[in-house]
Amino acid sequence: MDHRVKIQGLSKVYEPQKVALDNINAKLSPGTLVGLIGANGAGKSTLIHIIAGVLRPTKGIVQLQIKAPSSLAWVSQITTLDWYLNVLNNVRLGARLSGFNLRESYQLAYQAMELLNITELKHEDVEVISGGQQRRVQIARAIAQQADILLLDEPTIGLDYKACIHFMDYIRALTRQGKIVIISSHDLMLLEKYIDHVWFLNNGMLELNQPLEQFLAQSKQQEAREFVVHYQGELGEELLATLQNQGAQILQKNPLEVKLVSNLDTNELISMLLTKVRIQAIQPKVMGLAQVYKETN
Amino acid sequence: MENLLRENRGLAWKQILSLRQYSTIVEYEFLALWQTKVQLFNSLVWLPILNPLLFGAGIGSFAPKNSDIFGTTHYLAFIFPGMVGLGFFRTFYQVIYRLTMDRRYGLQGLKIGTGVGVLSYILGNITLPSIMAVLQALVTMVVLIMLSTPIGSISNVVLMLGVGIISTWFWSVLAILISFSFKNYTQRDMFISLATLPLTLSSPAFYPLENAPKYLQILSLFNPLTYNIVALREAFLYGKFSNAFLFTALLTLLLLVWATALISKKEFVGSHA
Repeated sequence: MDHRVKIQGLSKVYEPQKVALDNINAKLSPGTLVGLIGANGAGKSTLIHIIAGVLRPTKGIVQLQIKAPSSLAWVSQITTLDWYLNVLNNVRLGARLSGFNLRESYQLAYQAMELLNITELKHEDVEVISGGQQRRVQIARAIAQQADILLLDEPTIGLDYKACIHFMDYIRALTRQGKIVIISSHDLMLLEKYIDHVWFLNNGMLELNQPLEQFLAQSKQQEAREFVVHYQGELGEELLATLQNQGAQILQKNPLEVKLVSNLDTNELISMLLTKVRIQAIQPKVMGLAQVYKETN
Repeated sequence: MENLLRENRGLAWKQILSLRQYSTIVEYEFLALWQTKVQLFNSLVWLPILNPLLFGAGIGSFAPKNSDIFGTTHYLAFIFPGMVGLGFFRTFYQVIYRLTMDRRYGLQGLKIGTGVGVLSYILGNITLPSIMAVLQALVTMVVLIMLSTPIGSISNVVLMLGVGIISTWFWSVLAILISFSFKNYTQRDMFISLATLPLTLSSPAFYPLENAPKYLQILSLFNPLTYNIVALREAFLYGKFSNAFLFTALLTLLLLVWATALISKKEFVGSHA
């Protein structure tokens, strides 16, 4: 398989003894959208900075198969803007660093600003626009760079919902063109809709490195089974106590959200419920990325 | 396809210098300067006009017309290289300001991480200050001519500007090196305010050192600006390269190599930013 990104034995220790990353190993092929998740301080930004080349690893290597260093674009969590310049010139910088000429840099900048809906701000100084708009300028700059690998550290901070969706749709389209995108975000519900691979960092270690379906499926195989039951009638405290004694966790009463953690199976659950209520619908509760993350963390 | 490695060595030396990257850095330094029109006006109009017109002419009105003291009978001709030297020295703190901002806001990391060679970055950042300093010197010269100051031969002026460009590079590269030692803006501003005044006033920009008190003569020996101005004056008044110029040129080259090596090993974010 053609791996454009190879990470081998990567570790990073900040002086004096803070271990930010510990023996990370991973490979990425073209067309992959990776969700990099983990708690605050897990090492997500450090990993992104090392891949971007602005931090050096203490041990190990990151190998990138790209046309040139400018084939990698990076959006940092911190605000990385030239405060002396306006929006247009900040965005254009990405294209110029990639080697596009003046005319091309303007074209690419306008396209990127259009995508992020900041074209009307093009002549504004970046210091007078809002934090969310500044974020969009950074993202637009990365897009104007026309890179093959994009590293996005919390790119959706400050973006409204519509802008997030629009942006993620574009990112998804980029990966379909064969680009690699690594996106670090705490917005797990949004990530879940788009990513196809998960890197889960915990205390500097890459605890999980899997396709998203595998990551979610593993959790479905755990002993916990959850159901949502829509019903008519009254359950009654006695029935709820019986269910709990039989090994069900009642998460919510109406609609009934129940987690079966022992031998009580679905048929027995339905039989017990039918003694008291009329069941309208019963469906398994699908574990989303946020729930799995919560369970795993 | 290139195989790009991120490891714990410095950047690959083959990415040191490219004309395209250099011109991109220069373009962006120009755009940033153009946005600060007050600074542009100060550098190209206000300072080079007021210095000779008010200060220089004022002192010159009572300075003795003695070529043994000044090397020329005209005081303004004596201080012209001094004013030019101070103009070139001004690049020192301009580059410090610009580079600490670049570092603080991650732009240095963005540019070098995207493949801008270290030497392209350094030379790109010192080009515009050099051009501005030369333009400032030319404006000063025009004002002096209007004040009937004998400028001498064009070749001496050109030689002086050539020497001045090397001294600008010296100050700019020194500024790049020093800027890495600042952890915050307070340290930067404190350094600039404490360093620039003594350097300016203990230099022979406006007075000959030979007649100065002994302590001032000793102090000036430790001031790099002294050697710059002596070299400029030798070029302008006598049309020759002095040892001071050769020393500055060599030191500039060494500092350039040092700055290139230093930036190649630097990290640009996190606790090291």
